[in-house]
Order: sequence, then structure tokens, then C-alpha cells
Amino acid sequence: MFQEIPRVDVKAKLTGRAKYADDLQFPNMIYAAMVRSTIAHGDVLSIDATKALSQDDVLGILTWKDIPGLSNKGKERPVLVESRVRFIGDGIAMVVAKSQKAAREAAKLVEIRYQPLAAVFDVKESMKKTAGWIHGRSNVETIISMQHGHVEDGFEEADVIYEESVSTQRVQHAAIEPESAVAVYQEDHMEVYCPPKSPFNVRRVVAETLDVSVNKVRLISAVVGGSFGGKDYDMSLLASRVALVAKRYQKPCKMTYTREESIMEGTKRHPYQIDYKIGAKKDGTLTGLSVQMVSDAGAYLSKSAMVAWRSCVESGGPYRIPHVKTDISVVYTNQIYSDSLRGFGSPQVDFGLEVVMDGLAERLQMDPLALRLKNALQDGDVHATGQVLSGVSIEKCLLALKDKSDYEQTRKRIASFNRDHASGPYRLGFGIAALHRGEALGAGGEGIDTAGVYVHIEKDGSVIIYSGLSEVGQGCQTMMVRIVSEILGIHSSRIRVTTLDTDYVPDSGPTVASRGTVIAGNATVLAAEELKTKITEVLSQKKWFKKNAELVFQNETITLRHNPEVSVSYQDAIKMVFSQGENLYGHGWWSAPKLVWDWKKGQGDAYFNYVYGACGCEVKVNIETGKTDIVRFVAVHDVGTALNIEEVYGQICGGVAMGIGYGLTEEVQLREGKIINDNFDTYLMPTAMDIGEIEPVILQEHSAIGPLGAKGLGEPVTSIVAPAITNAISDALQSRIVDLPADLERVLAHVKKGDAR
Amino acid sequence: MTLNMVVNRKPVSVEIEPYARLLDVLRTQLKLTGAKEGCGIGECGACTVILDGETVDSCITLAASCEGKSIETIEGISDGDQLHPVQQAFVEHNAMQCGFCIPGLVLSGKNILDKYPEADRERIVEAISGNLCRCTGYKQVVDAIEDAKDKIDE
Repeated sequence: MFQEIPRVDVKAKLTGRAKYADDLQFPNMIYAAMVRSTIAHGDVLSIDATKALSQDDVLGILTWKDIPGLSNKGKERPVLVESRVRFIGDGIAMVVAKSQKAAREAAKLVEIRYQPLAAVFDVKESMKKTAGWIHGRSNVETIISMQHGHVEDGFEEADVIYEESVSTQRVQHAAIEPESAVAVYQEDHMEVYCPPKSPFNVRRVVAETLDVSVNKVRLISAVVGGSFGGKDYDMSLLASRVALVAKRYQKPCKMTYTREESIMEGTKRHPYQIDYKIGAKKDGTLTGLSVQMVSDAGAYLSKSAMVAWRSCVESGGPYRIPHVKTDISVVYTNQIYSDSLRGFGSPQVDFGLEVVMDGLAERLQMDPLALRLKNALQDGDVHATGQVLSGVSIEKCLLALKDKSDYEQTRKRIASFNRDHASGPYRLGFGIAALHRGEALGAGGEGIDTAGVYVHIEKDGSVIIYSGLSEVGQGCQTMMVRIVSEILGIHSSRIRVTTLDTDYVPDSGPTVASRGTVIAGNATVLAAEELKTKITEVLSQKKWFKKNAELVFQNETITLRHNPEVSVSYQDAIKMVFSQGENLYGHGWWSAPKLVWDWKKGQGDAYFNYVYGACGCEVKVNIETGKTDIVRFVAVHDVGTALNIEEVYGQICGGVAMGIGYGLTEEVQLREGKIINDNFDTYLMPTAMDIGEIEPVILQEHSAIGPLGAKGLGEPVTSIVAPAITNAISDALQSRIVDLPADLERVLAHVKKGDAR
Repeated sequence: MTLNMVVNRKPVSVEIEPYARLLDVLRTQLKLTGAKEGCGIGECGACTVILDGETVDSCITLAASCEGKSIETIEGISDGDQLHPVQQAFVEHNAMQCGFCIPGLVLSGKNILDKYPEADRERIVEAISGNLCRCTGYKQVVDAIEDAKDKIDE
């Protein structure tokens, strides 16, 4: 539909000229390094920095006592702890030196004495009254519920009841760029350079730490080397830490985490334990679903309750189920804390339900795809939240999957391979999974969903876009260029997007929830439309312009719709506007529609829209080694109008690769609260050799609310990869995998259980 | 100690600590920040450079061992605004997102085509298997390198 435009940041990134935070140098820069808790729970009794301070080039040590403002805030992780440490990695002090090496070496020499407290690492243990409390007087932070109909009625109506317990593991963002930040002390404000996912939250936390108003902190975004939900509160703490040092020494200060530090302090995806009970008629019609979940929040609150709320709302999947009861408990443990990670509570429930759907299909002796199609939500159906849905495309996604994966032939081919090669080491399998996912922040307290964008046309006709939304690599800057170029009918080469600088752009919230395209995209539309109106007003004073005439902005030309003979070039129109003493700045501010959630009833309008997708995966499993190869991964996603087809393609391929890691190899392993696999030699992510053939299938069902009809995409693509893979392995081994990851050991265990041998 | 190398076709001479890593010498002393540190243990490939025709992880390469050797970094493969065919192919295939791993991936791609101008897809995949990328899922990257194959001679 649109002409392809290259990414706006492509050249800087390809030539090595793009500046990430650790690439920045300032005169007289000093460096800081962290001293962190080595115990999982306890109180700091003393800090002995004598040895550290005697080293060459060491300037000093800072603790919470050096914080003029807030050192900690309720249940949030502190900038530096006052005394209580709650996980191995809590920040206690910072050593400051003239070089990074000196700071890091000296930090190792700081001696901490603790009074240890009983620590708890298991969520079920932590829920007991005998467990040591981590915050307040209970380790259960909250229980969030959704109740639709009467689930017991649903089970009574059922011919078949299927129950299953599933679990998901702790994984991490593992963006290839480790966290880094630089603070530069200025006379009347603090300048911070860092890769932020939520620039305005980082600014606020820095201001709270320094005890200054937010206008005294200026955050200028460095190029962001990947986020995936990370570089959020982690970055607020890191930026606050360097700002403290910069203020104290009145010099620029940099701190860059090593990979081990990044893994130790970086937030993770919540591990879930989920008990399912699902009922269906003989023909496959779903009658009732009960979902009981426990989420491991780790040591601090962060966004755990909001993540849990999304899990709750999406727990019924893209299916019509008249009776649903879901409860999720958010529980503290003395471990690295959990926070947003690409999917924000979706991947866990999508994994669980899609595994359960396959189990139910087996029980019903029904084809898994047929079971999903039979229950797929339709326009006008009532969602488990009580909301009446429109714009539902799950059936289209499932049918596209059936077609593109050559579903029936694939199943037959695999069955005959496994029959013919029964004595060999390989088994083939095919698995599917489907999803619906709420767009943007939703009603569950993730905040007011707004964004602001300015678009300025300069006198030479060139355009600058100022946006408060962070470019984390997903291509939101290119998306905004696309929208402005479409609406003003001008070539994309005229447009530049500025670096995010909180001094010049309005607070537009975080880059989360796949909201950038919809929320900031709509703000961009409004800003560009305002410019169009300003141009139209000036042109309407021309003789040729009849009253109420409509103008078409296309191909760098503005034309009368009903008389295309009459036109003016874009360039001349801009000149006319400025010669009249008018301005050409456009301001767009977009708020998502108001949503209401009734916390008591567990029902409400959760999201203003849902997106849909379906995946199919073929695997080849070696039953002697337990190794699973992804042969082929078909990923069908309804993206609305694709604003940039190559970007959509890239998001899908990247999301699938991340999902393959979640499904097969990735797991943050902890022993007594200590992370064992703290670098990429032991935390195993997919390489180019591990991803098989990814086949994105892009459906474009126009969105009624998205800019130019577009929908969000970043998270849905990751959310149903793991269940498609494990369902495929279960198919290959004839034994159901219900826990993640399906690593070598787990697969081998199922080889023994199943009929594969 | 003094280290003499050829970096991006120019002879350089720098004073280094005997234990310095090549990555730090490039980034800090020669201000070539295109090579990145992602893991520090030679696993992620973000610090990839080409040393006498072979890709190496500069984070685990002792700078002192590079005496008299020739090094190519991402800054050296384009000619002003004229991108190398591999870089140009990355543009055309949208083979990047956050970009942090991209200098390493481009150099691995360039080097395999320098060594094997007819490299097939399998060889390309193997050549970049030491470069972790969390954003792209590698497909567009492999497509780009494969596509650049025909354009290098032109």
C-alpha cells in the first residue's frame, strides 16, 4: 500500500557512528562502580571502605546518606539501600574513581557486614504465614480476579473436564547493550544521557533522588541498544546513581554495567505456576474455565500487579467461554525482581492455555486446530471480561495458518515420517497456538495512556518531528516519518526526527505495551492534520479556492479535489503561509479512550482493542540427545494497516526468535537467590543457527482506532511462540510438555514417558 | 609499551598497558566506538573486528598480540557516505533494529564474502553464528548478506 521508506537511523547504526551511552565521552569524566548485596535478605551493619579508598585514582564512596532526596520509595527498589537488603544484587554503595577500572577494582574491596534474615525463594513457601516478611505483613502483594458467569455451572454443563498444572520460568531481556548512563553537572540543572525505555519516569526518579523539581533534570536519550521491557526502572536507578556522583563531585560521571552486573540487577519475566480446569461439550464447545495462578514478583513491587492484571484479563484466550474464573496472586520472594518483559504477562497465560487447549483436544479426540476454530471469538461475542468485541480477526488468523502451513498435508507427512523412521533417532512434530492481546496500556492501572508529538515545517519546506516516545530499536521514528509523509503528501527525505530530549517534548509515557504505533502514531496524525489545516486556511484566501473546497495533499503538490487542474506545489504553499506571517507548527496530543475496570466484580472494559495472531511450528526432535530443531515457524499476525512492511517483517522474525529462546533454552537459574548463569556462555539465547525457517504471514485488517488503520505488534509476536513449539514437541513425543523451557533434560524425560521410543 | 598496528589501512602507534584488551584500545584510545562490549567474554560478538583477514572478538584479544597486524573496524569499511555493499544490503533488507550488534554482524558478513565470494546460505549462517542479535531474528541479516554477494564485484 505504501512506498517503502528506509529506517531513519539506518546509516548511523551501520557505520558505527550511532552513539550509545557508553560511547559518550566528556572532559574530566569520572566513573562509578556498584557495591551490591551478597546476601538475599538481611540488614547492613557496617560498610568498611578503608582498603578501597586507599587505592590509586579512587575519589570516594557514596552511600544512601549522600542522597539529598528519596533513597527509596515504599516497596520499590531503592537507589541505594538504607539498611535492609532483599535480594543478592541490591545496591549498597558506589565507589567513585578517575577510571572505570579503578572504580570497579576498588568496589570489590569494600567490606560489608550483615545481620542476615531468613530468606524465601519459593512462592508457595513465601505464601505461608511462617515465611519471613519481605515487605509489610504478608508476602502476598495482591490477588487479582476476573469472574465471568458461574464457573461451576460451566463445569456442570461439560461432557469432558480436563485439568493441568503448568509452569513458566524466569527469563531476561538480554538486550545486547548493557545498561550505561552519564550524568553531566550543569549550574542550574542535571543533564543525563542514557538509553531510556521510559524517559519521563527516569527524569522523575532522578529529580526525586536529588530533591529537585523535574525541570532541573534534563534527559537526553542516547541511542538505545535494545529494551524489550528492560532499561525501565533499572535505568531510573542507574541514572539517579550517576546523577548523585555528578552532583557531589560537580563533574560528568559515567557508570556502565558489565554483563554480569546487568544480569544480576536487570529485572526478569515473572515465573508463573498455573492450575487449569477446563470443561467442554463432546463436540468441543467450551463451557467453563478456571485459572489459578501464582506470580513470582521477586523482591520488589515494580509493575508486578499490572502485569498480573493483564494475565488475568487475557487468561481466557481468543475463545468464547461463557463461564470463567481467574485468580492470580502476586508473591514476593528474596530474588531478583520481575518487571515488564516483551509480553507483560501475556506469554505466561498464552503458554498455559494453549498447552491446555491441546490437552483438551487430545481428550476430545479432536484436531487441535478444529477445537480452536470451533471456539474462536467472533464480532459481537462477549469476552471473558464482559466486554462486547468488535474487529475480531482470530478466525481469519487461524484459517490463514491452516492455509500457509498446509496444515492437513503437514500433519500427514509428519505422521508418515514418524511411522517410517520409528527406529531412527528423529521424530517430527507440529504444534499450533493462538492469541488475542489487549492493545496499549488498558484499564488495569498502567497509567493514563497519552502521548504528545510536535511537527514543525521549516521555511524551506523541511520538517522536524519532536516526540516524547523512546526509540528502542523498534522503528517508532520511522513510523512517525511515514505518517507525516502520508498526510502532508511529501517525500520522507524532507523529514527528520529529533533526538528525544525531555526539555523539548511532552511526557508521552513509556515505550511499552506495543503502544507506540497506536498512541504516538495517533498524536502524529493530529499534529500533521493541524499543519494541513493551517496550510488550507492560507490557501483558502486564494481566488481559485472555492468555499468548502477540499484539498488533496499528494506527490509534493496540493490539488483541488474536484478540479485537479488547479494545484500549487507544496514548496510554494509553505512560502505562502510564511509570507502571511503565519506559523507552521503542529501539536498533536492523543489520549486513548477511557476504560473502566470493576476490581470487585472482576469485569469491565479492559482494552480499547485486541489484536490477534496464530502460529504453527514444525520441530525435529532427536530422541537420543533431547535436542529440538525448529524446522519451520509460520507466524500469522493481524497488524492492521502495515505502516512499513519490512519493519513488520523484522518485528515478527525478532519476536519469534525471542520466543524460541523462551521455549527451548533460556532460564535464569538461581541457587539460594544467587544467579548461577550470569553471562551469555551459560544463559543460552538463539543464534542464527537455531531459528529454522521463520515465515511471517501478515494480515492487514484495518483498525478502527489506530493511525491510518495500524495496530501494535511488538509483543504479540513473542507471546505464542513457546506453546507452538512445546505443542509440536509433545506431538513428536506423544507426551505433553507443560513446563518451560523444553530444554534437553526436559525433552529426554518426556521421551521416556511418551511413545516415541 | 608501544603498539604498532595498521587500523583501517592507516598505520597507528599507541602507548598501551601490557594487559590492555584490543577492544579498549580501539574504543578509548583510538576513539573507534563502533565495536561494542556486550558480554566481555567473547560470546556475543558485538566487539567483532577483522584481524589479518579473520574475525575476532576484540574483548578477548590482547592488544599486545596485535603488533604489526592489520585491523579493520566498522568505521573503515565504508568510504565517506558510500556504504560497503554489505552495509547497503542491510539498508535494503531492513536488517537492523536497535543496531548495537550490527557493526559486528556487518563485519562477519563482509569477512565471509571476502573469503568465500560464493558463500551459500548455510555458510553465511555459520559465519554469523558468533554474533548474538536480540532484535532481528537474523533472517533479514542473512538475506542481506546473501544479497550483497552479487554486488561486491560491481
